[in-house]
Amino acid sequence: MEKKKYLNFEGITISSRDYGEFDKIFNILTPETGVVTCIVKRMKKNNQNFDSIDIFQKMDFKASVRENLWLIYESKNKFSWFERPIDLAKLISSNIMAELCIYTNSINENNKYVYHLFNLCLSLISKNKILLSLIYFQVKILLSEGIFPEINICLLCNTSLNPGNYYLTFENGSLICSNCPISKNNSILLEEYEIRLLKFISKNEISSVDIINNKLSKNANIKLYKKLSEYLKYHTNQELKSEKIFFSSLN
Amino acid sequence: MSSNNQVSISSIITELIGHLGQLPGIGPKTAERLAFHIIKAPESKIIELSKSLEKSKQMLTFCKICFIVTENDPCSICTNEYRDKSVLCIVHDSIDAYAIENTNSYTGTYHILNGSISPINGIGPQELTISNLIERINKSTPKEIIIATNPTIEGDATSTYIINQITNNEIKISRLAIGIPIGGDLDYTDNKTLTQAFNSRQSIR
Repeated sequence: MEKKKYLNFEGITISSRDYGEFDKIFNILTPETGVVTCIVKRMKKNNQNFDSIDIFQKMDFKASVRENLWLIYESKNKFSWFERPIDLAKLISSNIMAELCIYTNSINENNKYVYHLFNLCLSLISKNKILLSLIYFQVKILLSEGIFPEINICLLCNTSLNPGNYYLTFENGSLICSNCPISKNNSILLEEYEIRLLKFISKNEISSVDIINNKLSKNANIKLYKKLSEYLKYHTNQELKSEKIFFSSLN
Repeated sequence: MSSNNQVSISSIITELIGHLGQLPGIGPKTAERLAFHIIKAPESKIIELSKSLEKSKQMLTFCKICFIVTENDPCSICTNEYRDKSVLCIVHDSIDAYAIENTNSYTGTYHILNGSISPINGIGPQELTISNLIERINKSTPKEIIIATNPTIEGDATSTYIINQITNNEIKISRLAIGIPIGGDLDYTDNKTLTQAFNSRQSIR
């Protein structure tokens, strides 16, 4: 009989659901394989091999690997970002990032980067920098997936764009200059400061973005978040369920 | 071997497996096992089962006060004059209230949320009975509220949300303790639970 192969790996639990009477299924973000779906058997009963598993924990796992579903045998807690009980806005924003990870989990070379990014943004959320972390996450995910819009030149006429407000068309993935024809369906108007901020975030690390972002109002951040979210929705073809109650939780 | 020789499963069985598989806690394998058990069982048993299913749907409702599943609205707990109306225990589902009832150690009343806040599943406070709960608290002003939501991140977020909605500071709000199960071993208890058990230790002298 073939001997069972085990794999030890580190991962962050990003979503969970009940399965069967005692089992749970987790989506775990890993640095090597991206998002993997794992089953933890008899989780609702006491199990000696497990540290209590919940979402948004960094853990060491031991699993037997099957094609679509990994079976977890052991888990050891390494780090939790959130003090319990967690605030609702923090839970929702972490859920939003989790959904984005699941829906954009397509380019294998990016797994390490996305894992690092998720780590970073969870720690920002835990420090209450919710909108900053979400916008930063959106921009960096767009970049890593290769769908970040062209914001320096108009892709229709190839002319470079001077500072100003421009329409971003989803289909072209580009800002369109005022001389070129624009279909207002599937496009959004980006204001000058938003374009400048996008350029800055795309080129810089979080520490410098934090300084710039502090100068923006909450409403300006919400506006930019919503625009990026619409753009992501168009490209992933997925509606984020967590967003449904996000904005009311910010009040 | 050609695919024509393969035995195809009856569409009626597939349909039955599909329906059973939609039930919470039933995976595809269990759904299959249940389907074949139903097929093999005596007809009288299956008729009883289907009648019982129909009756449950027709005769059971939610109590308009506490939202527990009940035959009579208001339920027997809300109308029982011996229950302590000044203590209110908040749980996710009716099944949790039944579990507490089985302990015979609680004599207060309940409020069933009908789920927990789960943003990733699109379930927010509006999908639960939280607004009814707040209305109920404002009307009846209980002395104590016991929050008995699951000790998961989502259960915690639900409890934090509820606590923030309760504006009356005179109401005592408590949570169920988290700790070592009776009969459990300390050395097998995970770090988080053990930490929590230490934090919520009780003085015995």
